[in-house]
Amino acid sequence: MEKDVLTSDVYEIQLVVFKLAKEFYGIEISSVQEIIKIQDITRVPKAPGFVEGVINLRGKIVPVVDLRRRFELGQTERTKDTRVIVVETSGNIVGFIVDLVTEILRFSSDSLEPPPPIFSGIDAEYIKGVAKVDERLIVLLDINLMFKGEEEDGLKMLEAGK
Amino acid sequence: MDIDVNEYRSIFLEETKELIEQFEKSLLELEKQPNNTDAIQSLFRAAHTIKGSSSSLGFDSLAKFTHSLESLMDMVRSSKLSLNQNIINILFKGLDFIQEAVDDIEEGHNGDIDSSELVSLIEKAKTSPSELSIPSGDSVIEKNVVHSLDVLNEVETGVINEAFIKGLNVFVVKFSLAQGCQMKYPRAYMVLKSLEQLGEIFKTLPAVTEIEQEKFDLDLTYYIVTKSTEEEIKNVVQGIAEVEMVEVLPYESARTEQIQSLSQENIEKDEKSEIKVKTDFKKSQTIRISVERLDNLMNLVGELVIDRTRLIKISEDVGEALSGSDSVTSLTEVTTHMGRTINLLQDEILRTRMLPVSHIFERFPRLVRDLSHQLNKQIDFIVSGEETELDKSIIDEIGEPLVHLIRNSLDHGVESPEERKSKGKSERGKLKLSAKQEEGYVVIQIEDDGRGLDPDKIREKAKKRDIVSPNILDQMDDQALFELLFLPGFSTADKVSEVSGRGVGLDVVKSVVERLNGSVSLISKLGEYTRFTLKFPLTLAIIQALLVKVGKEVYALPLNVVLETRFLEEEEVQSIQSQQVTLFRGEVLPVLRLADIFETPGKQDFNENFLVVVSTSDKNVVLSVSDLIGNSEVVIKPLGYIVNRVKGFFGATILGDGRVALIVDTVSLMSAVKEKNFIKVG
Repeated sequence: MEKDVLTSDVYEIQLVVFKLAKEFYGIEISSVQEIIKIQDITRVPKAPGFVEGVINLRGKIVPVVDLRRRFELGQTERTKDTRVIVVETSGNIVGFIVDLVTEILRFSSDSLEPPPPIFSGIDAEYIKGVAKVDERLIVLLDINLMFKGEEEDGLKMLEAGK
Repeated sequence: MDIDVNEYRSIFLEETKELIEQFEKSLLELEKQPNNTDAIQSLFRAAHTIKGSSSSLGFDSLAKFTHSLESLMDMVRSSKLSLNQNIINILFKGLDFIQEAVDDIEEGHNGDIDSSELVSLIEKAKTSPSELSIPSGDSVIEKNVVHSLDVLNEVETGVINEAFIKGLNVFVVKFSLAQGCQMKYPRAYMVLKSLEQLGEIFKTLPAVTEIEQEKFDLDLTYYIVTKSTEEEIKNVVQGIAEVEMVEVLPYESARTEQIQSLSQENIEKDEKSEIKVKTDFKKSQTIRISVERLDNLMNLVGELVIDRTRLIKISEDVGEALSGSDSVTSLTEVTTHMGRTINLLQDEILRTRMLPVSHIFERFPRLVRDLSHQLNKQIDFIVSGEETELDKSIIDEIGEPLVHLIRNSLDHGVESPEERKSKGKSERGKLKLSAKQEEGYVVIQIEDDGRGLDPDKIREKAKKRDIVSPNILDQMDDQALFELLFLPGFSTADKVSEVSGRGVGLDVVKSVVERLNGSVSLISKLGEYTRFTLKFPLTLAIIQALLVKVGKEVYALPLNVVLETRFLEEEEVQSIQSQQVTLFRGEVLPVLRLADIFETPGKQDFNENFLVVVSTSDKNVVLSVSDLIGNSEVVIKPLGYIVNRVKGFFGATILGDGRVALIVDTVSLMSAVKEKNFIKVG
């Protein structure tokens, strides 16, 4: 179904656009639950390195992942712009730490291009496509695949003792 | 079938399971009291309902089978067939068959299991009950049941069984004292004494204490087990002054005359049926709610509990800042009141998830019956406190551990009748299962009056197995030695038996119990008793925890694993082969720095001031922490995605200040430390 984005009828995509290091990324707004300021994070000993810890989101325990570390782009520096994007997909709730949330963007699905074969850091498999908007390149992440991959990758990383 | 089977299947299963329970309960009652017409009626009704509902859903083979079972019971009910052990056994087998068929249906099949063998047994029993007397080994029990149409209790029927085994006679001696007898008790006593020269009197009517107080008219009945003949007994009794109308009847023929004495029991029965009406009424006042709904409610209340804690803190802070203002006073008032309401709400919601332990206790009488037959032991199984309530999720888990402990007691604890007799104990062993609520915990105890535990034997075994070093072993007191039984791979039984000792040991019991935040302990006296005590929190969702600080981080340790906390004194901790150790109740325990295990940032920069002794599945360990914050009631929340794969934590909780604290699972933490692997796979 998701793959159809690239092939079938043209439709409108709404993205939450954010910055990691110098790059722009987008997540489809339908999977974003909310965007919050960074708050107290409780470290979880022995969790994989990209898991920053857990937070209390109105009484719910939500794991928080540092997306920069997840994509091996270094560690996110905390600034007043740092945000946590809380996403939900297939029952899992996770917060992603990002440098800055820039905007909500609408664009037509036909301006989405397949990802270039080699892409810095990020595993190409999590990328749904790339969009060029106002001379900026925005990388659209596939949250569903990330969660799926995360399960396996995360475990692999856990086992490797990272 | 026009009905959509799937839609009704779950209702059918639910209902049939209840009926099976009812069937089993009534059957066990009936085995004890074959004249219990209520039990026969209840059996009949259960079978009838199962037959009806299974046939309407197209489970024809189950319907057919229950029909033949029902017709057998109908014959018993209408006294066309007298109840004997053979029929009881067939009914038990029938029950097992129904259970099997229902399991089959639950798995998505249609319960089509071959029942022809059992059906032919049933048909045989219907036509010629006498031909089918039970194989010789069991014949004793048959006699017992056929003739126990009187008010004998289990101990007494046990005596009769025993007598028949030994080929002794059982007589019922009836006599009257002369009208106007002035010394009723002395006369009755003389009869008793002289009869005791000939055999053993195991029952008197009225009871001895009443005879002593002369609480009887003139008629007395003594039950005697003896080698002597009717004549000899009659002569002895007639030889005593002021004794008249002596009648000595063999036990079998006496029973018909005793039906009169059942009238009292009938009165009791009437009372019982009245109570039944009441509970039926109560039943109609309940509705079924899915557990998921209750879980959701529980979660919502959990959040309120957290908010309550936070709100109290906020109102305190505000109170400090703006003390004296009217609105602060009302804020405090409202906060307090809301806190109280939330407490009540929490209690109520917790209660909705509670089930009486009878849910699991119900299946034990059957288990004990089967096991004691198998082991040739005579057991009085005494259950109490079945109405005690416990969280459903705990109820679901503790069946197996309890079965294990019961097997253990029957197999290793209670001695054979011969051994018991030679020790001067009653030949019938006692197994007590009890449940009660105690200070926010539910305590379940299993106690047998068997051979007890031998500390020396345990010490010897521990030495042989090299489980504890010899010099420590010598210092251990009995209690500490008993605790060794919970270690993996430790079993004191000399031989592996069919009933217990299948490789699962008390260590499994302990780990299940601890996973449920409970604890298990045992005490025993050699030759007298063994008692296991299991302690469970009322619920799993909220636990008592000790909050500790490691550096700046806060962790919660479930209070049920915390044995002791103490101030760390340098000289108490010693280093043996680069491992820090300390002495606790005569045992050398490793001291682990939580900051090291958790790789706490800046761990070089702070010191530990406190030791917390915790139990794990294996050995107790001592954790060193920076500070103790105190005890608190915490709500357990799942850790969520990926993080829940990390070993060592039950979950997390939210503290009064809104921060998250992880709840340490000492059992999995220690095994992770040992295996150097903190990842749960699968």
